Amino acid sequence: MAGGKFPLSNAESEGHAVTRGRRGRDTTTYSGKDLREMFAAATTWLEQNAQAINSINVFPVPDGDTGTNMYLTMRATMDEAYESGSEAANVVAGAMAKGALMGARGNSGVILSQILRGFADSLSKKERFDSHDFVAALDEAAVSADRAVSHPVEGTILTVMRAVAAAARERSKKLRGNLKNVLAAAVEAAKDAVAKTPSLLPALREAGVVDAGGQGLYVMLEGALRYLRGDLASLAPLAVQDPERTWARATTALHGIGEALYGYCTEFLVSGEKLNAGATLERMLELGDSVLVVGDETLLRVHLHTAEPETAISYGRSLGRLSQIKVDNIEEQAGQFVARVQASRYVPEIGIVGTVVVVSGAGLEDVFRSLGATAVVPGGETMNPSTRQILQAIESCPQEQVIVLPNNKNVILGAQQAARNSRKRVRLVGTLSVPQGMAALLALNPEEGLDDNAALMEDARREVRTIEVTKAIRTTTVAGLRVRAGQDIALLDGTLAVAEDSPQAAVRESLNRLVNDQTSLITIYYGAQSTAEDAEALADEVRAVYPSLQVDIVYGGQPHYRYIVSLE
Amino acid sequence: MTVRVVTDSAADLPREVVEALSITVIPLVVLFGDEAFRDGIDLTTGQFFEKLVSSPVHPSTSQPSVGAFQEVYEALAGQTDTIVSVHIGAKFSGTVAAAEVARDCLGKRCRIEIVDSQGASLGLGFAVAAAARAAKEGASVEGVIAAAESVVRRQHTLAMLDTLEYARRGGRLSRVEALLGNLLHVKPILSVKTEIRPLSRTRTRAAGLKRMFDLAMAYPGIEQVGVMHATSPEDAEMLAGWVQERLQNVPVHITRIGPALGAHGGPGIMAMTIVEGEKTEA
Repeated sequence: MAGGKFPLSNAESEGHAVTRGRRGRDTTTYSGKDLREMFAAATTWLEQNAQAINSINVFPVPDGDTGTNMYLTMRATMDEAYESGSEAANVVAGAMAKGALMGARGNSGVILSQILRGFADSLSKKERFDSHDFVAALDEAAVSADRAVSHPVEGTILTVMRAVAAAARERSKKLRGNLKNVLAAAVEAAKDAVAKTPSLLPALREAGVVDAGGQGLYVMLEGALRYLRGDLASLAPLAVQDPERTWARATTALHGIGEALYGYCTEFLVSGEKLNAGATLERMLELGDSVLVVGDETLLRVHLHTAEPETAISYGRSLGRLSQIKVDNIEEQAGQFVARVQASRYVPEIGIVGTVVVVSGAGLEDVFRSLGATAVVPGGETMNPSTRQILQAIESCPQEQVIVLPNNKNVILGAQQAARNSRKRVRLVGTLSVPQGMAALLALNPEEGLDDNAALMEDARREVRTIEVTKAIRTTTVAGLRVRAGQDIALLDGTLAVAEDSPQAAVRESLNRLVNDQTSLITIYYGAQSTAEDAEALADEVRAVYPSLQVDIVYGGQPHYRYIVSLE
Repeated sequence: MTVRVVTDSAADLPREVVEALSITVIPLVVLFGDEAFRDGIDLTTGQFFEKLVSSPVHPSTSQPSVGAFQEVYEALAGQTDTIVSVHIGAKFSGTVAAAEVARDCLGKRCRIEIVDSQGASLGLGFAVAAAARAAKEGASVEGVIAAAESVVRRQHTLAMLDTLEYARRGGRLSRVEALLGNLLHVKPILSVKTEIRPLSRTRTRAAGLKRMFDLAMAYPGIEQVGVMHATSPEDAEMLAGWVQERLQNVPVHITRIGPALGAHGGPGIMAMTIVEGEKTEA
């Protein structure tokens, strides 16, 4: 959109068909292009506010990335919208819904994709739309959002969406109920509803924050309104523009037939000072192939295929600030089932049921592969893969029956969405942590079918207790526990329950709470922020306290969580 | 004339049963390097497991020699004109092959029918006991064979290994190993029928016993249960107790696992054999 055409005054100029019906009702119509530009502005505004939204996650954990997830979902949405190249509103809306469906990350991303689905369904017959069509679409979007979640909860994005639809409808009945005014009313209602979320959800009130997903929706609507008002100063050039598509075309060419199909397709953006594209290119060529480096002194965009994505990313990190990091397993993208380098021990029996496992961390990926997982989806830094990535992993399995293990509550909706969109028979076993995922995978019986295995795995995942240790990113109170930013906190089976001043103390206190007569094995998976020595020292400490228990250490390499501990 | 029933020591049949049912047991051979022992005769089960753990040499088991079979068949041929010889699964041991050669040597002096049980431990033992009971009740050779084959069809044997160490050393379980991963210590639960197949895995012994129990109890219409251990009688008692609680009128037999499975399973091995009732047969 660099140099693109923002309307100079309100939307009633620049070729919009301005008409007035009876009683002065506004029947100005808008095209797909208008729709796209509105949502593009919403996306840009969302990007600029993403970090702020991330930081108001109820749990003060570093991977509560609602803002990033919603932004990435919208980026995929807009990619598809621009790809459609159409001016028709229904085509653009449909393209957006499709992009959102596949690009959805995290639960908030999935709900957003359902909002866009409802929106698109409502506009399915409209090449042009007026404010009333827009209001109807918001209604449909709210209904669709509610349906996305099996147990809708008040005080979340759902509440905000409903308030938005209601306010828009009210305003449209009044005088001068044009699109701008309707959207303005929607934004006001969103702002209000978001502010009220703490009164509806005690956890929010206690943490002293509003609902992050609701805030994300409010920000998007505000962005769209700014566009309609021509309030451009606050909108930086859009992230989604032609250079993006050029990049996509260039990198797609690198994935053509004949390219070595191994390793990870790694992409990232580096922003910094005095960046050297040539030197970066040389370094990347040492690490892999299909290398593409474009940009200038302040911004470089990098793409390569490598078996060491961590090395490439670490190098990038040394140059400046990284963003838009993408690491995809090429083998699975290609739909081929290729054993890994250490593979001869890891080639599993091809049983009747395939397994797709979502996990972040090179060591953890290795463990799951060694346990016979058919396909592994790397969660990445945010630990939330897109629906498309999960779907590709499902399709890459040789089997027609597949079980998906999300290993994270924020991946569940995305996994459900992927399962629904696969032509295979797919079941989801709702594992909420890596230890649960391992217990479930171990229970897989190669002689049983899909439903029996799903039941076996569901039983098995409940047998293990999980402790996840990380650093609090914010001072807050959760369930009566006061947490200071920077403290070492532990989630016990997903509930934040421990805050201490060292990771070792956090593990100690957590074990104190969970170890009982039935416990016989403790496994410590140490993450990227920890070292083998630290982990050994911690294990020795634990062995000293619990001499009758077996304590194992495994390299996990996971981001954010210094230690993941399982009790069995 | 009464049919005589023969088996091998892999059947893990308690002495009382063997004597009461007039079964003849031919010992497998246990090899620790150069030393050869007749299973149960030169080396008791207890001694075997002690040696398994302490010896620097990993043992192997081997089928009884053709000569050993001949001796037994010749001796029995003096008492009967029909022998039914039920043995450990052909994929687990060359015992059936040795029996067949011995049978051919005896020629027409005695009718010898050989049944491949496809099983081990009580998976074999229950079939042998059924055959022997039929023989004792005066069944014809066809009736005795049918009794054995019926149990062969209806039995399921599960084994839980404490460790893969012994299996690896013995080199027998490569297919299973591929599924098991060496980054985490896991306890595999295997199906032992015709061949060894992996069924499930757990990370602790306690969970493994429970998982094996659950898998065993999933079979319908169970009429008989065997609980086998190598060096863990308390675990066997516990498991048997669970079974009896679940299946109140079903007989549960505890026995010790011998070297045939023990050499690969290790001293912590536990197993269960389930025999489904006749009426649930397809």
